[in-house]
Amino acid sequence: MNRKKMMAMLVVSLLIFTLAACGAKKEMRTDKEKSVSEMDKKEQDMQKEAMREDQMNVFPDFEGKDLDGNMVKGKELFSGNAVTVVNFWFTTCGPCVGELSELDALNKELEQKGGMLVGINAFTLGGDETAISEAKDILKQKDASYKNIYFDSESEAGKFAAGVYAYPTTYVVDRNGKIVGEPIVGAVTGEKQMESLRNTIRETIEKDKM
Amino acid sequence: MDKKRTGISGFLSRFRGWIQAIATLLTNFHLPNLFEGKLYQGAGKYACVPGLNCYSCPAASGACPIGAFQAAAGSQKFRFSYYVTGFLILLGVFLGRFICGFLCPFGWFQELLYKIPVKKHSTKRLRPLTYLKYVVLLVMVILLPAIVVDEVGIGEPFFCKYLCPQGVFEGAIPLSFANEGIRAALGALFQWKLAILVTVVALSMIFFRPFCKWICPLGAFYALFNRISVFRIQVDQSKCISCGKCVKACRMDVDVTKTENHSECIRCGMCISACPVEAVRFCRSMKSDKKQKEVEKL
Repeated sequence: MNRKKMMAMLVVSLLIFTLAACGAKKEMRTDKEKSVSEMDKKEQDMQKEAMREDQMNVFPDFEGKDLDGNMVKGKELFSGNAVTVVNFWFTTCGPCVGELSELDALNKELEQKGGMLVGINAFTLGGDETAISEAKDILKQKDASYKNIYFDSESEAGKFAAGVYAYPTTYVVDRNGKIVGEPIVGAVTGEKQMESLRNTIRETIEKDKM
Repeated sequence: MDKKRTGISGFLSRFRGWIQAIATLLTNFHLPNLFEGKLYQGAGKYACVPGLNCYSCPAASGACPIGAFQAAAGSQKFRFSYYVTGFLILLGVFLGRFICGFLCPFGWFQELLYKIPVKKHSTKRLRPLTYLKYVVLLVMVILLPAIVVDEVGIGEPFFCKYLCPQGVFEGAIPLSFANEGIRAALGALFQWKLAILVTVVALSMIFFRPFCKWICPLGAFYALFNRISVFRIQVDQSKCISCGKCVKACRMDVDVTKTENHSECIRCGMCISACPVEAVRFCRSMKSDKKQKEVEKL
């Protein structure tokens, strides 16, 4: 029984420890608000936070290639389009492959509006040749002719791509390389998803005209 | 409990709850991810954990064997996953359904629900339902993902997608709480599986481990190895006084004195704790039950 009690106490104390940690943080914040010199610090913190958020909202610049080996530079790509829709997918992902035709249709539509859709196949990041040829195969089978690109997995953009864990995920990027709105998670073959994607695209194009 | 068993049998049956808790924690080691709504995607995810634990749980340390099997079977390149199957056979041969009783997070979850004080019911009359899990394993995990494929050869993970309540509990719910994009993606499929989860939760309060008994394809797989696994339960017939306390104590409807390593036995050790004469014990043996008995007769 003693052992059981001890173990129970250990677990409870662990729980309390984690709780206390959260509380302590909050207290520190209110302390900061009190003193003037620390007010500056807080402001700095806020600026830093804002900067970090800004960075989070920017699609990291990259130097990559399309699946045929042509050089693609992130800044040039984004600045050339009123809107760039970036779709993350991988070759063995059913829902991703399922929406390739829809994405191709969307790309044709976007081209008329000065926009573009690009695909990024997670398997091809880093330039694995088998992965590239398999991705090309699938794209061909699904009659998807829009540009697919890859870059180094160790680059900033590569790290950004590694953070995508729900597939497919679709980002809308404006002319300055900024990510607009929340990414669309899940296939755009769903009505709700397609509508929200179209809304974000429309907003981005309208803003670009201003 | 008047007298406490010593040795490994006593330890395992007495501290099972703690072992389950530790196993669940080790299986879901990346706890901060739960609040950030992201998944761990490191090297651990190349390996399978022994129990039913969703890959898409933000905290998960490894992949779910059932999920991994379907992912391989549903891909264009493979129709059957030898790697996952081999891993499961290895675990099955050594431990059998000990994994269900001690290491599976979803098994523990159901047991915790069973502790909620509502009226309990026996599942003895529902025995035919225990065969359902083999059908789930064969049809939803092995056959459908390999056979029903789209035009480019990709199959769906049928069990994960349409049936598994653990995926909703560990994956969809925490992820959608912390992640707006996922929340926006929830639809009819989520509602269907949420209904399954709610049903399993409700049933778990009145029945002991209903999902393990009737549905779980992983339990079904390990069950195939229960009779031959190295780690097992043994009844010393010379000590047994046929009091029937072990049968009464068993929540998986097994009579351990008749079939020591029944496919439904999850090796929880309740019969071991219940035995007044220490006739039931955990042990390891490389021989099958039948052979073991022949040896004892000599």
